Amino acid sequence: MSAPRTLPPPRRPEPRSVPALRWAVMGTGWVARRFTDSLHRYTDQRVVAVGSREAGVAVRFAAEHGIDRAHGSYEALAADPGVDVVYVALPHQLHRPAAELAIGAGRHVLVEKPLALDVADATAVYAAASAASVGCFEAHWTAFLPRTDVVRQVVAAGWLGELRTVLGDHGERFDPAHRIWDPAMAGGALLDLGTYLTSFALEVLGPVQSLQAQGQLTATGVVGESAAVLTHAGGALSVLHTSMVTTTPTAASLAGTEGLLSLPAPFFMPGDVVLSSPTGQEIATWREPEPVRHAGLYHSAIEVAFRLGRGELDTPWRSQEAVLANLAVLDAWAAAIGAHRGARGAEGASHAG
Amino acid sequence: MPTNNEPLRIGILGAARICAEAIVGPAHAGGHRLVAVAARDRARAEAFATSNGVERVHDNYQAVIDDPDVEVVYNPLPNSLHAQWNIRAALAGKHVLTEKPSAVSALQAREVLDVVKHTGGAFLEGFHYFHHPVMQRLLSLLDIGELGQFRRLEVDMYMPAPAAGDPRWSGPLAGGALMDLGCYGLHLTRQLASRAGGDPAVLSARRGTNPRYPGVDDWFEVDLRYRGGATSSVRSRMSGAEWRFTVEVVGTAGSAHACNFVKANQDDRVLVATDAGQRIEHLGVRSSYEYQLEAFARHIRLGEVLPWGVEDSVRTLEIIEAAAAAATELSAP
Repeated sequence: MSAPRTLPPPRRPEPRSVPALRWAVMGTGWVARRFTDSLHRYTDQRVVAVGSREAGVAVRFAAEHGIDRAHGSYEALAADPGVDVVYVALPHQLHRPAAELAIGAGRHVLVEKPLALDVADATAVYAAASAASVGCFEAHWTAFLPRTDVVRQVVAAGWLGELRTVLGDHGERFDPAHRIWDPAMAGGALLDLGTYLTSFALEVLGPVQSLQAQGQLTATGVVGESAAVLTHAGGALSVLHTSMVTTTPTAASLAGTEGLLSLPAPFFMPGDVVLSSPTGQEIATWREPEPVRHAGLYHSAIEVAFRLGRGELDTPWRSQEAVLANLAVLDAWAAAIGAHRGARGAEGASHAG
Repeated sequence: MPTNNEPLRIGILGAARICAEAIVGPAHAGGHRLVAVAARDRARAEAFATSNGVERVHDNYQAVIDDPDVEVVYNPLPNSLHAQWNIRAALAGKHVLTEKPSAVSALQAREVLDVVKHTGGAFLEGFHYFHHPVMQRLLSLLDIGELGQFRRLEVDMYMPAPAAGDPRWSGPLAGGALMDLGCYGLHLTRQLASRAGGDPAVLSARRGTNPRYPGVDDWFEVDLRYRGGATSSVRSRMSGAEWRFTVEVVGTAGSAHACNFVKANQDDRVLVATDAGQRIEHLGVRSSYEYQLEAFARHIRLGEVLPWGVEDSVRTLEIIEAAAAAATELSAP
C-alpha cells in the first residue's frame, strides 16, 4: 500500500454554506459563553435567546453577547417561538430534563456531552425527539472537527493496514472548587474527560467486546483517576488513561500494521494529524490552520445546521447509536472500578449487594 | 523560584523585521541570551542567528518552544498566528512575550488566558510603549495632580503605507489600522480607567479602506467615554503622509503631550502646559522595548508585578471588537 504524500483535506461544510439558524442557549456558564462567542465569531449562526433560572443572569449574558432575548426560566426559553435549535449547556444531571423540555416545545436540540447520564436516560431523550420529529444531537464537538474527518479518511483508505491499537490519555488537574469534583453534579473524570477517549476508540476500532479497568475515586466520591484496557474485534486493543487529579500529555494515537496516526495534544481539540511509517518516519502531516482550542466549538453547530438543512435529524459522524454505545462503555468503565452511576447521576462507591 | 540576575534565555519564533528592535537590541542591552530561533526558511533563520547572536537554529517553531534551554518564548509572528503559538509556548511551560495583540479575537484571547492561568507561566502582551518613562511621566503628571482631574485622552497614530506585501495589509493575517495601530490607543484608553472613574465604552467609530488593499482597514477612528464622563479619541491611519504617534492627556488644570509615545527613543519630549506655564521635559532616549524586557525580566526573576495582569489582553481585545462592531465604513477621505 503506497503511502500518501499529503493527507486528505477535511470534508467539513463551509460555515457560510449551511442554513443560518436561530439558536437558544440554555445555561450561562463557561461553555455557553465559549459556544456563543465561537458561533458569532466564525459563522452566520445566531444565538437569539438565552435562558437561566435567574433573569438577571440571563439579561447580563444577553447584553455581553449581543443576544436579542433573555429568559428567566428554561420553560420560557423553550417556549420562545423565534428559535430553531436549543443548545443545552446546563450541568450534566439537567441534560435530560432540559432536552425533554425543549423537545416538548418542538425545538431541535444540541445537548452538551454527555447527552444524558446513562444509556437509559439517553434512550428516553431520543424517543421523545423521535416522537416529536425533531433533531437531537450530542455536542461531542471532536466528532465534527476537521482533524477527525482527516482521521476517518485515512482509516477508510486503509493506509494504516490492519488497525490494532489505540493509545489515548486525557488528564487535566481541576481546581478543587470545580464542579467536576462534585458527585451531585455528576462529576468525575469519565463523563468529562474519559468520554473523548472511549469515543475515539469506538469510532476507529468499533464495538467494545470486553473492558478491564483500575482506578481511584476522589475523597469527594467521584472517579479521580483510571486506566482501562478495551478489546475490540480481532483482538484490537484500546489503552486509555484519564485523570482529573493530574494534567497528563493528552495525546492519542492509532496504530495499524502499516502505519501510525498520531493526534498531538490536546487530541480532542482542533489540531494536527501526523501519519508515520512503521520505521518511524513522518510521512505526511495535516496541519490545523487555527488550533485555538474552544474557538472550534462552532463545528458542532455547523454540523447541526447542515443536517437540519437537508431534512436530517441525526448525523452519521456522531449518530444516536454512537452516543448510546459510548455511554454504555462509560457505564461499564465506571462499574469496573466500583463507581456506580445511575439515573440519579452521582458517581460514587457502589453499595454492597 | 525567583533568582536575581541570571540572564533570560529567549527563543524567537520567526525571523521577523521587528525582532531587531523589539528583542535583539533589548536582549543585548540587558545581557540576556538569545538561545534559539526558527523560521519557515532555515537559511533565513541561520542568517538571522549569525547577524544577531542567536546561539542555535531549529527547524521549526515547536522545536524552539521545546528547547529545554529556552525559558521565554518571544512571538513576533503575524497577528493571526499569535494565539496558537502563545498557547503552544504556554503549554510547554514557557514564559511568553507576545507581540500585540495577543490574539485576533477576545474568544481566542480567552483560550490563551485559560492555558496561561492553568500552566502558571509569565505572560506579557507587548504594549512596550507603556513601560517607557515618557508614558509613565504622563501618568505621574495626572497622579500628582498637576494636570487636575483627567478629562480627555487623544491618541493619534499615523504612519506611511507599508509595502504592498506587508502582513499589515493582509486580512487573513489580521492586519489593518485597528489591529496594528489603533490597538495601542485602545490599550492606553483602558489603562487610564482607574483615573477616569471606570471602564471606557465605545461611543462611535468610523473606518475606511484603501481601494488598493480591500478588506483591510486603512484608517480607523474611535471615540470612547469613561464611566466618570471623561472621553478618549483614538485615530489611526496606515497611509498617512508622515509618522506621527502622539498622545495628549488633558485635565482640568493642564495638559501633557507626548511627541512620540511609540518610539520615544526618536523623540523623548513631553510638553506640559498648565496655568503656571509651559515646559518641555526630556524623558530619555532608550527604546521602550528595552524597558519592556527589563520589566519582564524583573517579573520573572524577582516576582515584581507587571503593570497589568494576564486578563488584560482579553479586555483589550473586547474593546477592539466593540470598536470594530461600532464602526461605520466611510470612503477614504
